[in-house]
Amino acid sequence: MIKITNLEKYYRTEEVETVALNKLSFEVKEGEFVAVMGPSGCGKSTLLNIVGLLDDPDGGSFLFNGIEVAGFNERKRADLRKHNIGFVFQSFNLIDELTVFENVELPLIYTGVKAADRKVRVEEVLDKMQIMHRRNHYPQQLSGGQQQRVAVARAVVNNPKLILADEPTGNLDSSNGNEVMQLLTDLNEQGTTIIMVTHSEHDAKYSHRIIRMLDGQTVTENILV
Amino acid sequence: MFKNYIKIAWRSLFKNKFHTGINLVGLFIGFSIGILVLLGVYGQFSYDKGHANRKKIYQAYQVYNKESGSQIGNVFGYPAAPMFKAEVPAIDKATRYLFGSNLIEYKEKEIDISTMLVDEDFLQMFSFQVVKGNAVNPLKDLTGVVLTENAAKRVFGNEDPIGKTIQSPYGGGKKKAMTVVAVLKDVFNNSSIRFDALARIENANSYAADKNNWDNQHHAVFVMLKDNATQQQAEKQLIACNQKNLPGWYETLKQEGAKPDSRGDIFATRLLPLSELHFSPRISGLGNGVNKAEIYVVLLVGLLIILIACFNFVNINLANAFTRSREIGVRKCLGAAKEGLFAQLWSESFLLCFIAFVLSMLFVKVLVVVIQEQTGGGMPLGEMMLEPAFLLLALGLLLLVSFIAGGYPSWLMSKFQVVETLKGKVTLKRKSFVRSALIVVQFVIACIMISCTFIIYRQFKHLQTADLGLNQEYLISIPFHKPENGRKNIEKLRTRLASNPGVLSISGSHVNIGMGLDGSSTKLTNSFGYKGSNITTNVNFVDADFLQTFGIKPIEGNDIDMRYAADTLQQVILTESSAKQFNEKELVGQQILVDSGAPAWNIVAIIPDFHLYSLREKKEPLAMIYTKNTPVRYCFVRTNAQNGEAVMDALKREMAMLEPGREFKGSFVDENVENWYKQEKMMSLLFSIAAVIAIVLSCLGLLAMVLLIIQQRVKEIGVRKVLGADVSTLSFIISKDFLKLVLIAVLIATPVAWLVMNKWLESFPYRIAVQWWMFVLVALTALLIAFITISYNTVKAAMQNPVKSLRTE
Repeated sequence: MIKITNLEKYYRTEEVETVALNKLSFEVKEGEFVAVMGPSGCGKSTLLNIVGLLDDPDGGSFLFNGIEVAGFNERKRADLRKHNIGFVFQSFNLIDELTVFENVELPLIYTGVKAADRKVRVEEVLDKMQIMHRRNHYPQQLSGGQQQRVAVARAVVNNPKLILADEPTGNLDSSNGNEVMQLLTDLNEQGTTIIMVTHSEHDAKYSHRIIRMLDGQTVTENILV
Repeated sequence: MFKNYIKIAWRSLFKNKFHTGINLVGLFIGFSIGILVLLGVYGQFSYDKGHANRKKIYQAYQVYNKESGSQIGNVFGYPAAPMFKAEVPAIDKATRYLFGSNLIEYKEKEIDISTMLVDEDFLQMFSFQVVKGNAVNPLKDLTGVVLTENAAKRVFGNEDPIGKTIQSPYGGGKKKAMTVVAVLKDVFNNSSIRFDALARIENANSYAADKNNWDNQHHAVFVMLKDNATQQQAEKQLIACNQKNLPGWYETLKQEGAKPDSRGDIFATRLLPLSELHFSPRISGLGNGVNKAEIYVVLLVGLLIILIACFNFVNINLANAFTRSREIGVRKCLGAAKEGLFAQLWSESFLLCFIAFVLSMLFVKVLVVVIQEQTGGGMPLGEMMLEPAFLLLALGLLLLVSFIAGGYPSWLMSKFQVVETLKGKVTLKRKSFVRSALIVVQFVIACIMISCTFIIYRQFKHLQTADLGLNQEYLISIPFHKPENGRKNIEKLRTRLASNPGVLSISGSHVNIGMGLDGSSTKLTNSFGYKGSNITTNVNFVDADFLQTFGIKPIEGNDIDMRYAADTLQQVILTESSAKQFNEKELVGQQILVDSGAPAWNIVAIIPDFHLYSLREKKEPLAMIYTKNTPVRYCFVRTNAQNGEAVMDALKREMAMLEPGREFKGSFVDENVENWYKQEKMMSLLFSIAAVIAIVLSCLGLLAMVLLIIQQRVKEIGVRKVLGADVSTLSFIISKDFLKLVLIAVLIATPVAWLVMNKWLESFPYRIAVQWWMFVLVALTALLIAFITISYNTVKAAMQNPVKSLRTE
């Protein structure tokens, strides 16, 4: 599903150039659950941003479902992203002004799903995430675990092929963290490919494979399954 | 999608109540000013649009290119209009337009009705609709009079006016019996041509004597061109007509050294389109016009206020953008396109603009209706607001403001990099060029307005208190309803008030000093040949004791003495500049024949030049003439400080007996002189209101910006405090960036205001000098206001417990 070869990314200021990804290569097959680990500043989030088509690489190749997407402009990236990729963030990134229902509904609006269909799909996924009873609440009225459930619901409502999770349990206690990891595992078992950036060895154990990074390169790969 | 935008917009507005409040207040003020200004301008431009033939109608005026400069005359002699119609092929119809009388008598009751004397063509040129009576040609009959509905009701009540006989003196002569032949719909409020009644000009008292006299000029002339004729053609043909009929005029002008203008004419009759009539009061002489320059000044002031409100909106939204960055990042992440985000953010701005706009429309509507009810007249602005053309203009204003105010921040925010927003790296820059520039522009506008207010007010005061060359204090002016009885009434007042210690002297004048309660002003000019040179002088008909009453000391000779009044001799006082034209060593005591048909002038005194008219005009040569029979429109009574009000009361009682049933319109001359400068007073008021609004809006924006910056710098403030900074140092650190901007604004505004005000003052022959200290005062005021705005919050921030601020961060 994802094939990255010699991927490069630099951050430049007037005085300094920082290498974020240094000829990084790896592959993720459809249905895999991959954890990316490494110390702060090793390039994990940069990698996730590029895989999530939020950012451009400066060099190398990035094949998504066999299509080279490295040179895509913003419009093409946005189009590919909204149909294929779901995101789960450490800080949930729910929109405060929207209710739970409206937050989950948002990706469907951007993909042009009709209102009646949206209602069915959102209710279905809220039900699945056991958060239906909070559908009219605003994010600030929910606990951290509930907020992350809503974020997961939002990530999956469009049935994406790939979910990218950036430290999904980073702001949660262990009980809520486990619940979220179980949700991701369930989704993976239903066929969704998951790439998760984490500092937590515990969370990484839910994955099939752990890629360890250092200074913008992969250093080891551990296959768990 | 759109529903989602509106939903988000609505909730965002409520989330940031403080900034929404500031934005709403700013936009409300901006829109209210904008709508009021637009409405006013719309009203002015709607003048004279009601006439079907408006594109073909012109007012004729004369241009004399004398050696001393170009002069414009808007009055003609009786033969002019009929000659133009007969001899100028491009002219289809023509009418003379002369004030006839202010009085109609019916069943021994006298009613204030203003009658204009016109030609038969008048109602075929202008679209004043006949609602009753002869609708075909109401002005055909010489003894017919046409009334407006309102006038008919005032004269006849519920009686049918058609066929009824009324009496009216036209041009101060004997009353004439006239028959009401038609009733017209009331003259629309936005018409330059105004009247209560119309009658044929042949009824004028002086018509029989002057009908072939080109030199006695007293009325306006309107012409209507043929369908295919152009203004240029008509003006060319008018020159040919003048050359044929007035060869003597050309000869005299040539002898006086007249020079041809850019079109090659030393004298010409030119045409002013009806659409320009309202905007050319000096040419039209109709008195209710405005200069386009004044309209543009008002428009500009309104626009600047709107701009300040827009800039506040832009600045607050820009500063607020960083708080929305995460939401924008998430939306982009979930697939929102840049254009979609722009539409969403702009719709938020639009929503706020729309709310402010609707509130402003309602406010302005209520305001104009209330003002109209209070003043009981003027243009129906409340109704005009509902006209589709105005609504379109107002909607244009809404779109423009929402585009200026919301466009840039929305565009900027939609461009946020998604990765950076999600990382929370998008923050408010402490120094942003755009933001700083907008604050500077706001304060530049505010400072210019403060400077203008200050200078205009000083000029107004200068005009108001300047020495006119006469004693205007404790002098009462009373207009007569019947000028033809003026001299008799003055004589009666002299007798009746002889024992009143407060009355020091009484005289009369045909021209009022200042703008009295009757609101009228006249100017009479006379030109004649004397020993080979042409004498041109303003003329005023006065009564005995003129110099004593007006406190003018003669250079030579004595005041007018009624003991020497004679039918064959006119006693004349000349001003110095008028006397100089005669080039005589001994003028006082001489008798001068100015017109073979009129009594000779017996020069009784020469006095220093004085201001008979406002200080907007230079002093001009003036001859004050006393005869027994000429009408006098105003009585002047000299009183003193102790008896002013008592004398006014006594005059009111006396006038009630002399002119029973007539409203007493006596007023003090110093107040009337102030009324001359109503325009400057209004402008001073307009600018002071605009300056206050500009400074309040600018300070509101500054306040919001200071609060946002403080919010951003809370950690810095905490750290500095921990490291030992005291409250005053911290306040200075935060304030200095803003005060620097205000200082830059002052430096930019000063030369601009200096230039603009000097240019404006140039139009006054008598003006104040613009001095440097005025701008220093303005600069200090602006800085002080800005400092007060900033200081409260900066001190408050600096006094915060650093532990709290660091923990918060």
